[in-house]
Amino acid sequence: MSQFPFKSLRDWIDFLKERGQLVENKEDVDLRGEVAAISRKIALTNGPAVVHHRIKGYPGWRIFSDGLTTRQRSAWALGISEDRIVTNLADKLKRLDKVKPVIVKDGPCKELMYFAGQVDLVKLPIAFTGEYDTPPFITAGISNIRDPETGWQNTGIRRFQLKGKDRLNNLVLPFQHEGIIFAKYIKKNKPAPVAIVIGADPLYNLVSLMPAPDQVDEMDTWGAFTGIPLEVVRCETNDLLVPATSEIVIEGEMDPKERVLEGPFSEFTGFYSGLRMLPVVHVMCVTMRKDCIYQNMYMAVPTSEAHTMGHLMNEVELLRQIKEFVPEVKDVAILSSWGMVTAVSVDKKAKVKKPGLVNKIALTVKTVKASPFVKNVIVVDDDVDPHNVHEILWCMSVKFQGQKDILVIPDFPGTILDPSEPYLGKGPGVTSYTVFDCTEKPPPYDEAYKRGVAQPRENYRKLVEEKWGIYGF
Amino acid sequence: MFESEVTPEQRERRRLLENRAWLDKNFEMVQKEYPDQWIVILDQKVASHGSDIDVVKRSAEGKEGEAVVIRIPVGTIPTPM
Repeated sequence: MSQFPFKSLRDWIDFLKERGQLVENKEDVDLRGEVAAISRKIALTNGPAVVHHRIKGYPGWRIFSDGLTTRQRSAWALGISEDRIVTNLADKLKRLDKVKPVIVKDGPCKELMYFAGQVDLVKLPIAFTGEYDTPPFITAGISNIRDPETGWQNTGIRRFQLKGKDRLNNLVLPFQHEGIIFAKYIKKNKPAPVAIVIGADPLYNLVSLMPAPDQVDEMDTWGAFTGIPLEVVRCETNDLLVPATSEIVIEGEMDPKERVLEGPFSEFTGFYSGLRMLPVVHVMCVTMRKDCIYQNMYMAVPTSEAHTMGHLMNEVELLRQIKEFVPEVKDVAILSSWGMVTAVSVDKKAKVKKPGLVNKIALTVKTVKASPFVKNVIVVDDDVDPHNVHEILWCMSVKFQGQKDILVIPDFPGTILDPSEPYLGKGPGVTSYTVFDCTEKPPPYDEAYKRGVAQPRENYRKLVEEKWGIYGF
Repeated sequence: MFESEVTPEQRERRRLLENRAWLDKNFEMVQKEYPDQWIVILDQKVASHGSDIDVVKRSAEGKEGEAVVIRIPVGTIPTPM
């Protein structure tokens, strides 16, 4: 029986199968839109993960996707309970001691090796996401790059547009760690070695999404979560380290000067990104497992696996950073589009003693580092679950009045990816920042709240939770 | 996996890459001629263009796997790094 920690994608697939959370699709699927449409339906229905066994035009390949599309599966991948997952994960991260990876001589990711001249990325089953991603993108590629000055290896999930049999565009941005490191290679006028992992264990995928501090190696965080070192191998054409059980490793170099037109891409906002001039990865080597499985991650109009993964990791970091300044904040829930709608719950009793606490929360949420996409914030009391959209809408219905409970601050830093951004994509992006105070208000607005929430007695609610399965549900 | 015979779908993808490479190389000219328009690139040339995407992409019917269908923006394309 597979269990946490999962040391490979295959361990994870076995685990999901044992729990009835995997479909093995033996029907032919088309990369031009069918794989993406299946993932879309999985996300909309909270469906299981899938392994596609028959890819039209790509005999012998399999595609895995949607392993982390639900919170429950993300919790399993992290080895924690789904109940109060954000606060549990935030607490766990506080207590972690880093465990460095261990370098092994060989691994399944080196069963097959292709060097310059033999590489043909056209033969990878890279699926279209949106209709207009032409050409399509590697969407579950985990990029590794080493700081030439400190030796720090950074790991992060990134997208790579297919541009040739041995060329990929790389979305490297200056404010991300990979961009900060790449800038050092640009300054030295030297090519930057990179290694792109496709098909790793689920925890490696999740830690690569965590907004970690500078000089923190995500592989150490993997070890901290599991208590054991990640087994890694050295690449063939550079000194980067990659998980030994990876399905596919693409090794290459980014030229410091070359830039090629990239995009458009189906972004998390649900619209396509614009075109940009971005660096190119020249692929020098591809290693893979003999019967390897290509991993795809769908991201487009919410919701999707990418949204579930990204939201969870950003919630944890937002909660951690906000609580440093406002310990009365109890939980954070990203409800849409990587933070563009975020709900925050506050200690109801503390709020009574501290007038103005909601405004303090309002300003803190937008100023912490983990908040670049935060735009519309809904504040609720801690007797409401901020992850439950029905409860959020209920609070907006009965605890909110537009004429007095909205705070709007124009021209805050935003993102150019927001289609409603007012400056037509010029510059780094600007947004209105809006806070909806959906907490219960003090006198004279509290008469109805004092009458109590209309629901069955608490002891019966708890009893039903315990007996739910026994009733036959 | 890379040793296998090239399939028709993979040949179609190669043609897609050629069409996209043509766009990348000729973008300046394309942007001058077709600003704020949808275009379809097939056989390494602009096969159709216009402001109505539903009309423009009819020329790509049956060739969705190899056609580049894209809206050409106006203005400078940003270079973030």
